[in-house]
Amino acid sequence: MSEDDKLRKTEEFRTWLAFTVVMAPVLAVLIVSGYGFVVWMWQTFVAGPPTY
Amino acid sequence: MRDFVRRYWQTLSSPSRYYSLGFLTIGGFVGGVLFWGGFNTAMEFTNTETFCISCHEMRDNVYQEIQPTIHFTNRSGVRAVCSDCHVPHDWTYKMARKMQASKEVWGWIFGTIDTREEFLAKRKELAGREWERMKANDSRECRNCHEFQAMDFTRQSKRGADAHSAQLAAKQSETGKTCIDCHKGIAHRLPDMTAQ
Repeated sequence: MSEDDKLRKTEEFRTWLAFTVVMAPVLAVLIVSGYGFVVWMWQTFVAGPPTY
Repeated sequence: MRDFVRRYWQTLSSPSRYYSLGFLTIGGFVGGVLFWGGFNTAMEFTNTETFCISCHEMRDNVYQEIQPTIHFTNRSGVRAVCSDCHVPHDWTYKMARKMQASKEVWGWIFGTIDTREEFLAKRKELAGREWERMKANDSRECRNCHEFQAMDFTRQSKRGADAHSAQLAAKQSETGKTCIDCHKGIAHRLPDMTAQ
């Protein structure tokens, strides 16, 4: 394996790790809390407390 | 920096040269399972009594008051903890409530309710918010445990049976009542209700 290939392999692993361990979980938490926040604001300004 | 981002973006957007599809799929799947488990565990933890009374605002005020009530101390050993009544169980509304709690975190950081006096002064507003919610959702959190259909009127006092079979049985939209209309101040003491 040439030096270039080794670097590429390291980069592929790092990218994969960063995305599964950091990016995806952070995004998931952001999306869920964003959704919760929107529902809260909607209840505060438009709908009132949940009536379901 | 731009070169760095560009290089990693290229790695990310092109097929893997050195890692098999199997590894990436299983790896991603395992990561997802771990994340979801962790997320739910953390979410459940914020629903525990331990978590709620880790703040002195809760421990010194409302937690002291619930202890002599039937929801805490009773013969059958079933106990309702804070979240059973104060956090919606439905996922969407639960998330909304968790976000709403950011306001409580704000109050905790800046010491909005640091003393008993501050709590008592704010109590009517706090209680009013819970009453409004229960009135709007037809006392949903009460009904997670107490089912109207399962009530045995013969084992209730006459006053209770009368109220439950008349007002509670009627639809809320048709002059009916909901639990909280009568059962205020059952788990914590009532606020000072004199008009201001």
